[in-house]
Amino acid sequence: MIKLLLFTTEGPRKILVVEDNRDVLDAVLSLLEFCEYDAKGVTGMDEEIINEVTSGNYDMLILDIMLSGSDGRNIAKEFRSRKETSDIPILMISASPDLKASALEAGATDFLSKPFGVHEMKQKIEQYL
Amino acid sequence: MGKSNKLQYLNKGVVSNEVEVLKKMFEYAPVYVCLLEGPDHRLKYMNKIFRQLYGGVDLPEGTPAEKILSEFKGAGEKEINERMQLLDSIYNSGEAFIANEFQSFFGYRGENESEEAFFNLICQPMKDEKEETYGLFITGYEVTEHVRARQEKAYSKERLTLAIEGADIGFWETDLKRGELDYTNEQCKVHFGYSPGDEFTRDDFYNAIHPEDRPAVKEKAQDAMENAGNFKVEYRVQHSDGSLRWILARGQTLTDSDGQPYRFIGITLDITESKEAEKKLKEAVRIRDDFLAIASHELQTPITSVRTLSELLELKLKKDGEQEYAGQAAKINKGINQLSKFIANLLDFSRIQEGKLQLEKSDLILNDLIKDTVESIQPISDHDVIIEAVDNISVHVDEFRIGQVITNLVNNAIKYSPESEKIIVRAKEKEDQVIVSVVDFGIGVSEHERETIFQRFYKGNQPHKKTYPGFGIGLFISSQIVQQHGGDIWVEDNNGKGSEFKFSLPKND
Repeated sequence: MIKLLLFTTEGPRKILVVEDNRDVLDAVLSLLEFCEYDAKGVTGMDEEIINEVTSGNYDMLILDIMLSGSDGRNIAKEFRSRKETSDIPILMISASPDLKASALEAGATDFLSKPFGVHEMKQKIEQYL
Repeated sequence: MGKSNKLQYLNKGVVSNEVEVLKKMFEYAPVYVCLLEGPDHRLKYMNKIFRQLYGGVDLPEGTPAEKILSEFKGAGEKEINERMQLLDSIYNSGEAFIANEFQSFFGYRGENESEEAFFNLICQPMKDEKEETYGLFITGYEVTEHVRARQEKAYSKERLTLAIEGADIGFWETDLKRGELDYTNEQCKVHFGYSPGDEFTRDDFYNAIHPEDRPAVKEKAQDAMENAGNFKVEYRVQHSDGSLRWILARGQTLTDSDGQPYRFIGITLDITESKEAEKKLKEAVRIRDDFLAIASHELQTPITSVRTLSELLELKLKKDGEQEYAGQAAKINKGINQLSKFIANLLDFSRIQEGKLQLEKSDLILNDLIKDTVESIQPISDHDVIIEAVDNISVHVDEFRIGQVITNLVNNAIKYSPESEKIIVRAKEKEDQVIVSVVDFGIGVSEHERETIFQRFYKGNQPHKKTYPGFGIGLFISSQIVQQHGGDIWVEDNNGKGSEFKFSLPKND
């Protein structure tokens, strides 16, 4: 038990990236890997992923707003309403800078507009992890 | 005692006192008076203004008419003969000669050349107790100006008619007392789908107007007629062949001397072609803006992955000691950065064009925003960006957009002051406003550029000075953002050492 606790605090932090564009997703995963985070990417949400998040598998979420078939803001709201994920850092990303206010309102911890650079993304993550 | 009787006495020297009185009366009268005596019409008397007709020379009593006439400038033999014949015929017939607007080409009025003049005159034979003519009494007044004005009016009308017909203008007149269209020219009928010669009433006029436009036209016309105002309206007209034409009508109410409207007159113009061109242009602009919005938004996604991956590539190459390749990757990144800024500007520009630049306002401390913005720029610039802000100025603004304005101004300041090392950012309260200024020590903005610099696509370009690449819409976007916040943006000279860009924002209560 002690060993497990040590592993989760000292090992690489785990980040889940939800982004429907495969190229952007791959790029963000490469960036996170370069910054030595343990990153997993998905192009959409399903029951299994939600369970993974709510069981505390991730330290942070990077969530795109315009997902095919769903709205990242609704996903953020959903996690915020659950006790297990009410304070998990959620960084929302979008190509529309206008959406910042509504993203924060939906429960995002922070917002980053596309296209972002390595430096900006790294800085944002380090603020919360 | 009648006038002619009086003159008889005057002639015969019966009442010499009265003659002097009458002479005085005539002398300064504003009408021409002349008395001629005998069958050869010798001068008996002529008043002052008559003498002035030929230069004011005092001709002695007894001068024959032929000699008097020859005193007029421009009187040739022909004219003199004509006038002499006229005098003879009046004298011989004993019938008064009355002429309105009698035309005379005689030269008169000092040194002037022969001039056309018109007179209303009466030439009355003077008769003795035997009803025999012994002289002529000529009196008259000049009506040249009146004739000229009337002629001018006729010319004007002719010119107007020519202009109206040449430009395919419809013309209409309404008698407000009868409430009926009492005149329309042929072109006006054509505008409403009728043929020249057709009867065209006020009802025909209203019925031809598209039902959707009719109430507005009636209301505007009614308003102009009742309030003696102007009328300008555009409407569609349905022709009997089913075609739809756009008509522009303008009108004006004429009022009588009591200010009461009595006529409503105006014109019609077929503006279908320009309306269609306008519609096509609007459509083209809309398509362009839509395309711009979609294209720039679509570009954001690939730019995101390309930018991230190429930056990673540079970092990895550096880490692996591949300095040469890392340098090349850095160049790629510089290009991608420019491209992504350009696309962001394009997107903002199309939002402004479509009126879709929406502000998400919140209360914040301006100093914090300035600090955050400068912190994000400082690491990528060699300039020292110094903040001189007053603490705790609260504003209600869109954080992202105002941050964008500050970023734009600071980036411009850096770009246009390559030889200097510092940039100063200030925020000051001034009455109910906050003024933010960005001061640089660079090439400055010339006086004539200070107005145009905030217009779209403007780009600073000074000869003999290094110019910089850039799509000049940054300042345009900034000015739109500031204006939407109810503020203003402008540029001042920094005491000849550069420029000072300023913008104002309303302060929070």
